[in-house]
Amino acid sequence: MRIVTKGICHAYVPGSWVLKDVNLTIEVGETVAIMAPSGAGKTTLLSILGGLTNPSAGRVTWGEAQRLTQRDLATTVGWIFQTANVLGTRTTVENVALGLYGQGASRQKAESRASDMLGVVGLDHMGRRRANSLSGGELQRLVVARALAGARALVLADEPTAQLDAATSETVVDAIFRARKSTTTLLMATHDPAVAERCDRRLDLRNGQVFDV
Amino acid sequence: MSDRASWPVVVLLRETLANLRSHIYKTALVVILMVASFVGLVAAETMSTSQHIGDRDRLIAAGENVFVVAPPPPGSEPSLPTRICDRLDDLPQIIASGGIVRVGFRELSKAPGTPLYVAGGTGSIARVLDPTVESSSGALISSTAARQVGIVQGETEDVDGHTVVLRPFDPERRFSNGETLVLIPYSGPVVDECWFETTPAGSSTATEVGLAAFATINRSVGPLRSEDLTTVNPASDFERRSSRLLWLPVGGTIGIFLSVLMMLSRPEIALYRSMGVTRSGVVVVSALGYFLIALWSLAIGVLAAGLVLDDLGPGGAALLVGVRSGIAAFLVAVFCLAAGALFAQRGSISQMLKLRSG
Repeated sequence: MRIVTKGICHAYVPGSWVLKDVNLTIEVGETVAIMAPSGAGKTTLLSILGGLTNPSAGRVTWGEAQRLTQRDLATTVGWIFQTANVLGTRTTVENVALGLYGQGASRQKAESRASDMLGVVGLDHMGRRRANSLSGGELQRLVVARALAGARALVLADEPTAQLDAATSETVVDAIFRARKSTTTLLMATHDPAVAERCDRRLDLRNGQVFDV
Repeated sequence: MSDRASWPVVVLLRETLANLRSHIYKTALVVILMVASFVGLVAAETMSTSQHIGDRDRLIAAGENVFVVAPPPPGSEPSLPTRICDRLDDLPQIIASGGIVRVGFRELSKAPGTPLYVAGGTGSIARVLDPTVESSSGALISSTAARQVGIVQGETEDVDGHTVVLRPFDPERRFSNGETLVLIPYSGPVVDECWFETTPAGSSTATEVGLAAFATINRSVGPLRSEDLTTVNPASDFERRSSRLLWLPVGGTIGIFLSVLMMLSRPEIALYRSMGVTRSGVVVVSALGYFLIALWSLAIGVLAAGLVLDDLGPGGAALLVGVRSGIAAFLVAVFCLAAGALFAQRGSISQMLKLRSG
């Protein structure tokens, strides 16, 4: 999915701008790392690019569309959050299958594809385990599988490795890049330079403005 | 891009049931709370009525009307409408008029144009005469206690060639001077030569009046004991309103409890929202589950109250009022639940993203 932003500004408190005049063009299939210190506005930028937050000023277009709907969230956009949000009492397969129901998949088909996706992220042996019995790294890989199941056009990852050690982080990032299709646009907020290096493009967010590095 | 909801309703319902199944302890807790509250409401209503009715020894005030209800003697059969109607003129009566309570037979002191009300004893059938029609036509009330009347609303019956219209008896109604209250005990032997008149109001209690009346009427089975009698005094109904309004705080409390559970489910709600479930879909997944639990609990509560509490009260009327209270509490709880569901999903996604921290 191609994303174009024009003059995006955003403030939670009037006059205190978190983002100032952000102009970006992200091409289809591009992988982009957004780097910035904590509190700089990475998550805000991601949520605007993911259509969850309307900017205070400026415009975002996704392909030809001016806004993302709930249907788009269900079918074309995948989110990987900072904290692994899963249904803890449900099995791993059931959690991944959730990402496919919005695309109209039947239960059988969704669980079959979910199992395949779990194989891609290295959790194929844990399909019947409850999500609340998984470790932090396993949980985050589960979320990766859910976000990427169903060939999403846009995946947004908000510091997916922030709470993981270096080795586990690498596993999770491997999973993300392995599971995404070449046409999937990936936007990833991160502190980790090693993670950013694996992306096609790196953006630095400083004082509310975005710079290509 | 299309704004059509993309999650099929069937999937949402399946998710609802799956969530209930996976939160089995939470589900069980809600069921227990709901059933206990419901039964508690019915019990409170029943106890309140019993306490109220148990006041037999209070002096009757001038102008006050008192229902005196006696149980049938052991081994007797409940009366039939036709038996009562056939012998209407022979029935015993307590006439409350101008502060004088009188019990008699045959002679019915009913002023022309004034209504005549009849309340039944336990297991008996009462008859209400329509003031606009002569005594050949009237209304029957099936009653195990004065408060239970009204359950036969709309039915009709042909008795001895007369059309008898069944109509509800308003237990809340206060009697005024000049109105006549006829008390029918049960279907036992009716004595037609007895006439009894009590002392002026203020010097007789309901128990004394009832005992005197029923002892005479039922002389073939022996006099009744005072504890066999119950009285219902419409004039002191205000005492019962506090228990009737219990459904409001109980329903509100249950609703708040369910809403708190909804708040605890906010991460799950956010998860569904971030995966494209619409607001209405989230309400289906989250609130419908608790609504189903509440509905199920209501059914169990009705059953439990009916089985356990029926014998505690003076009749089914208290149970009926209690059930109504329970249903009212259920509706209040559902209202709070719906409000909680709408509130819980507000800002759930921003909470998940922790926008202000980024």
